[in-house]
Amino acid sequence: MKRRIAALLALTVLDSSACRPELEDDYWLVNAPRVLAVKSEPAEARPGARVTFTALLSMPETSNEVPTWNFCTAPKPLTENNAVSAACLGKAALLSVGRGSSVEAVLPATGCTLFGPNGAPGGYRPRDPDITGGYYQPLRVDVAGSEPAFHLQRISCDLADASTDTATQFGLSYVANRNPQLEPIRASVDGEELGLDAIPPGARVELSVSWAASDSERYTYFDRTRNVLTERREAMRVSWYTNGGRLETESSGRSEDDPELNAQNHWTAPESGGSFALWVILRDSRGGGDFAAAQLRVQP
Amino acid sequence: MTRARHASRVLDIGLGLSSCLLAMPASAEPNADVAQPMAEVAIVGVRPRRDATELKLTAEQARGETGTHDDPAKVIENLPGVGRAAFGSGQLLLWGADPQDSRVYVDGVEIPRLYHGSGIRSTVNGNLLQSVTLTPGAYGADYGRAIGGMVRLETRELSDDYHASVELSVLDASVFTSAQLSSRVRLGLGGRYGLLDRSLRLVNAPDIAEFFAVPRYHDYQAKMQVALRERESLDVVLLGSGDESERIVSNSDPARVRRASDSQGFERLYLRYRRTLSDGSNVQVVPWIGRDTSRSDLSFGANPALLEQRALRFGLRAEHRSRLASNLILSLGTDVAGSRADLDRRGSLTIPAREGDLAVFGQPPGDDSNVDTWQTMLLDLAPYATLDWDLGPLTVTPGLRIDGYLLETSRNTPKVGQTPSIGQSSLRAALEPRVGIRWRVSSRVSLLAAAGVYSQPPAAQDLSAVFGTPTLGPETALHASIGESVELARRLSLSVTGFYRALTDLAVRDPSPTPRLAGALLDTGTGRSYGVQLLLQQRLWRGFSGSLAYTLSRSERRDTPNADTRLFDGDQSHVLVVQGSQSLAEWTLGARVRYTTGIPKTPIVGAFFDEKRDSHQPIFGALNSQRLPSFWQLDLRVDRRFQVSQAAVLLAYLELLNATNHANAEEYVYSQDYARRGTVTGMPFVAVFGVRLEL
Repeated sequence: MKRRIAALLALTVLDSSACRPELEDDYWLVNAPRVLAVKSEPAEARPGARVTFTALLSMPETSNEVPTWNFCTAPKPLTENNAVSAACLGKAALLSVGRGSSVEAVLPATGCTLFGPNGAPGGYRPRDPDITGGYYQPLRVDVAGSEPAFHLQRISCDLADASTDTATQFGLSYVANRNPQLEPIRASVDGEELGLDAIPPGARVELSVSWAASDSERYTYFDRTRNVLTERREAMRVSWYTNGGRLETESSGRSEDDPELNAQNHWTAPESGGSFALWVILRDSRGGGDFAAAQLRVQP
Repeated sequence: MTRARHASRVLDIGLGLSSCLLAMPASAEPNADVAQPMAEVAIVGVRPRRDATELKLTAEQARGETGTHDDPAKVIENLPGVGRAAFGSGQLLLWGADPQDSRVYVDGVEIPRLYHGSGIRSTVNGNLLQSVTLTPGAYGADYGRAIGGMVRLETRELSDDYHASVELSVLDASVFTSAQLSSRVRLGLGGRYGLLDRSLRLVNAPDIAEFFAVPRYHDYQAKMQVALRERESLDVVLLGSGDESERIVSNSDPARVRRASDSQGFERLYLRYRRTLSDGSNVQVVPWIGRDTSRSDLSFGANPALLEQRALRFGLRAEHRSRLASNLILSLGTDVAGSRADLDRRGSLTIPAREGDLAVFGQPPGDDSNVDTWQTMLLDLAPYATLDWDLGPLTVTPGLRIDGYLLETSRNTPKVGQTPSIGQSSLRAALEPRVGIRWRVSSRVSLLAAAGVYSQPPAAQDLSAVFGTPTLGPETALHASIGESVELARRLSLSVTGFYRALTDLAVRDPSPTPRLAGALLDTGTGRSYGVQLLLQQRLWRGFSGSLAYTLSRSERRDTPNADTRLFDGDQSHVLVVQGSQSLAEWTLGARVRYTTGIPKTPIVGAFFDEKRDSHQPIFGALNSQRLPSFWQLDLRVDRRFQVSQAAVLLAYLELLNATNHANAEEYVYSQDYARRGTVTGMPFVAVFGVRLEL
């Protein structure tokens, strides 16, 4: 009887996977020049401060292409859901910074007005912070042959929508973000550690990275729901890219309440030998980051 | 008890002056050679007013149509002027209006939604319904508070003998029973509980929840009908409905984990007092109270997106309808509705998306996040008057409605620290003249026209000082329609109606990069929709009944005076529904074919890399400048009646929805770098089997 019912109900959804979009998405696979990450030092600074930006590029070593850097000065309208305004894709709203894989620049002084809580004089709407309470100055990075990339530089602004006491307390207790530091990439097969330059063909390699406990920083956060200052801990994300083999996922990470200080991924080596690039980027939830590049050598 | 044995599809398109509903008597066998006597429900007194554009079906006729799963209100999908709702949305798209701009009424009491969240079932048990009426626009002065159209459900008179109906299908189980408690009191009780989540679990479809929020729903109804004196009655009705759904997409990266849980519910308690006075005039008074709740809790990684609304709803509808002269009927009434809402919202301003937003399916909201908690009080007092003036073959129905809105919000600027809030209060009035004209050119041909001014108060969720604008006022519209109806043969009719709707003062997002404080929304939106609808209807003839409903329309919006005109998100140029059924003794076979133009979508012309989120973001082309592929679907139905005993009838039905398993695109979906595009397809082939036992 139960089988009969099941057969009847099976008619209900003959092909439940029909809704599923069929898009193979190897987001981790990089086979063209592009910007993979930008690291700023310091990770958070006040408008007007001097900051050094360094790009991680997926460029052949022989390439002479260097990135072009521009600040964007256009705030994002409420009608747009993207990270930056569509105006940042044009030239009118750009402020030149320079060229090179690493540049040094002074953050625009208008950051907290255009992108922060200090609404323009005359009763204009301030920007909304991200979920960590941060505001960001967009920085555009262009590499020939690739789509534009945007780094969002965290800027230190005052707390505008809290009481004076709370804002003062926040100013005293908040510590600007610092970049985390990646520990060396480790590889293992079936629990046995091996060097990145001695990977057997076809092997399923567990890649692991870690960071120090102090990198998952605790920070003061203004809880707008309860109108109080609280303390939160940074979530950590690791992005993985390669130009060969197959990665299991393009990103992994740890949430705020996860005490672990490492992240793993699996890379399946090609059956043929060769050397493949691996890029690993560690980001904290306040916009700080670190990155590393390595060569995975598959030895037949 | 008269019960239509062979459910025929009889659409009363609002042309006739008769107030009777048409139905086949239980004993009649369909036979085209013999004119079938129709059961007539006599209304003593002044006939009710009819809108020129309304389409009315009895519940019994409606529930037998293919695709309704035995649910009368689902027949709305088969009518002209109705756009196809996206799979699982259950929205009402009437004459190109935003679904939020149309209203649903039960006995004149507004309920927030016609269908359960998934669109599978209506929120009111079909066994309680007498009729379903669609008015896509240009309706009379007795209804308002909407710039779109409306659907009205009428509860049925409870019978004086015991009646019970038990229904079981793979979708849900329901029961309805009624009985006469005394010579003056009758009571009906009903309830329904969704089983789809359990059905899917049985067929081992564990991953479907990743792509489709499987709905869990329930509803319940109670009606007590008291005969007070001769021609005087009092109904006490309780309605309730609840929906829940949950969807989780897991990922090894906490930032890519997505959770979505939704719940919606409403309750309504109303009295309906009706009396026919000795002079033939009618009085109807309907006070009501209720509660609406909705909660949408999403999270994209650590980004929350919460919108919770709890509203106390109340109202009063009172009307006196009397004959002033032999050719003149006057209706005087008051339509009062109020809502006190508590709202809580957290997350990005771009979630939930608004009509006309630049967005792509599956795109996470922006990183920006804010919170707001606010209260609103919306009160609308609307006296109205309508005349029905018969001038021989011409009937003119002028009407006037005056909506007086009291709009209050608890905060007119965003919260700063512990600063006390300063509220916002405003009084607005809207003068809304309306007119309907019917001209019976001959016994077979009638012309009709209708026009009117309409308004609706702003949505409570738009009155946030953080996410909206507390000073928004009512939105307004002008409706006009003109058409004709022709009886091509005794049981074959054709009606054609042209319509036009102009919208003004629509709430839209401020497109400026620097919007005003507490001014995220502007009331500068305008729009228009226009088109023509056609209904060719074959009433029961030799066991066959069917219809062809076609709508050609265009719906446009302009967000600000300087912006370009664009297509409305739900615009559908062509909507065609052809359905028919053939009775063969105790068997009935039915089929329905639907075709609609794909809805507009915004093309993606490129992408950029968002380094902070390690993801690509789309670069959009012109808003709504491309369309999804057209939709078509074939549904089949077979049912059989079994006379179980002298008092019991069992109806068994099987509906094969999307019988060809055609992959209809419901959304475009993109690879993470937006370089490749695919489609999310809608409902696959689904078989719905159900049985209904009538005692």
